[in-house]
Amino acid sequence: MTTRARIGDAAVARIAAAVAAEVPGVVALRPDLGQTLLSLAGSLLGDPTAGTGATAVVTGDRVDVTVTLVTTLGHNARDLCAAVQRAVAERIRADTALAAVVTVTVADILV
Amino acid sequence: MHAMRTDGRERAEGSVEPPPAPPPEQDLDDTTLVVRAREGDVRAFSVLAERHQGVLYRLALRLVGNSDDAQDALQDSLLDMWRRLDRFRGDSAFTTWAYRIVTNRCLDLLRRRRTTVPVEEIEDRLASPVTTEHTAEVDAGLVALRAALLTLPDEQRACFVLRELEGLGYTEIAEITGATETAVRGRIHRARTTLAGVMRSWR
Amino acid sequence: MALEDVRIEPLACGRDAADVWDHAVAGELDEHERSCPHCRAAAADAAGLDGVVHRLAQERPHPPPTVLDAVLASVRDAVAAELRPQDLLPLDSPAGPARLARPAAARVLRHVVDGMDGMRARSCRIESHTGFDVTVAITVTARFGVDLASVTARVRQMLVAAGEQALGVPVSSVDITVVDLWEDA
Repeated sequence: MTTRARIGDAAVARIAAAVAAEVPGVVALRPDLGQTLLSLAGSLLGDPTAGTGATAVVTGDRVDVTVTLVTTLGHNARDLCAAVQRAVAERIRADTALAAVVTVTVADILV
Repeated sequence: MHAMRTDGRERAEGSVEPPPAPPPEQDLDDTTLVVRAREGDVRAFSVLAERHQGVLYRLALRLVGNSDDAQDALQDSLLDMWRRLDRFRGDSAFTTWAYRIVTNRCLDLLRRRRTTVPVEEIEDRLASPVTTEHTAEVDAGLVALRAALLTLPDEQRACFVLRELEGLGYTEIAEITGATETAVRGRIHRARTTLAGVMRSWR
Repeated sequence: MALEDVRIEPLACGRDAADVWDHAVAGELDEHERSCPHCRAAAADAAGLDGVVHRLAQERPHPPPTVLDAVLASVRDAVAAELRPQDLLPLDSPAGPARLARPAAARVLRHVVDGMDGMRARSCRIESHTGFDVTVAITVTARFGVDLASVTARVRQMLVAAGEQALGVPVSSVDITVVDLWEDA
């Protein structure tokens, strides 16, 4: 993996986090600690996207994005995931031309 | 959400309205809080911990004799409780289980730090003013008793504190300390005898 | 510590010293205990200690809030770090892979039950099955006097509805067990 791909990952992750945070119903983003630890295993420098609130791994013209979020009662969790996935994928395509697969985890629902 | 009103009418289809406010978690009984906490509900655990931390801290303080160690023991005990919730089966009261964890932590701490003071040193402690957090102490008898408590062997002090200061019964103390009721009774009596001797000579 | 002699020596008159002590503290000395010099000495010791012990027992030292704060911070970190694959329920999103943390789903369902008059949720187990269906097994406590048959039927309906509307999760079956009853304070 070259340095350019690393910058790519971080940039995409920041886009994803910024978009996801704006979707109505998203109260907070959580860094996906599990992902962070996994990506640390594969590199010496560590994951530069850790703490951003989203992670991204660019492979060719595709990117795998994960978003972990917190919402509140009053929003349908499944529909919220779909909304986040659409918004994030659209913005990534518009800004980077990459095709994104967005995995969303609802970590908590505040009541 | 199909909220069922008492008059039988249902809400409009499709609205995701939150249900009516439930009773505050402070009102939930220990068992309910334990079960919820065991299934990952941190808020339930925090209510449980807040409810019982005063009693548990008091116990720790009387066992280890100073507030720093007592705070450490309380903190470690509460974390233990969180980690071991799945092992608490509800066959004894939550408080008994909590007492046991705190008592064992304190006894471990004492064993490691060897703070049991020999009886000979009690004279020095009584002669010089005791600098604890109770610096405005006017009850000299209490000062003497606290110092005397710390001279007891740890197991005796534990049984004495649980009975005489926490008001627990012999059966529960036996469960908490893992000793037989006979042994508990014996330890309490020896503790009383020693303490009465100290108070007698102090008087 | 471990090997001390824990047998209680009888007083010279033959009485059990611990019994005399307990009687003295309770104010229930019998005739022998009140007149025998050995018993009276033991009772005096008991009385002398009991007063101070009571004063110590009245004290209510409080831990500083920092202790609980530190504990909860640790617990929350542990919970966040421990979200494992088996803790996730799959959500049927048309736009990509989506999952819901099981404890979050359970919290919502408990909240729904708690909102019902005379009902409080205890355990809430959600199991994922084929596809996106889940089954729910809950235990509840109910107020004395509540019509258990009708209220549990309503709980079932509300959980199915909550699953669909709040979570987006189809609940295919609900198992409810009433484990205890309570009265209002």
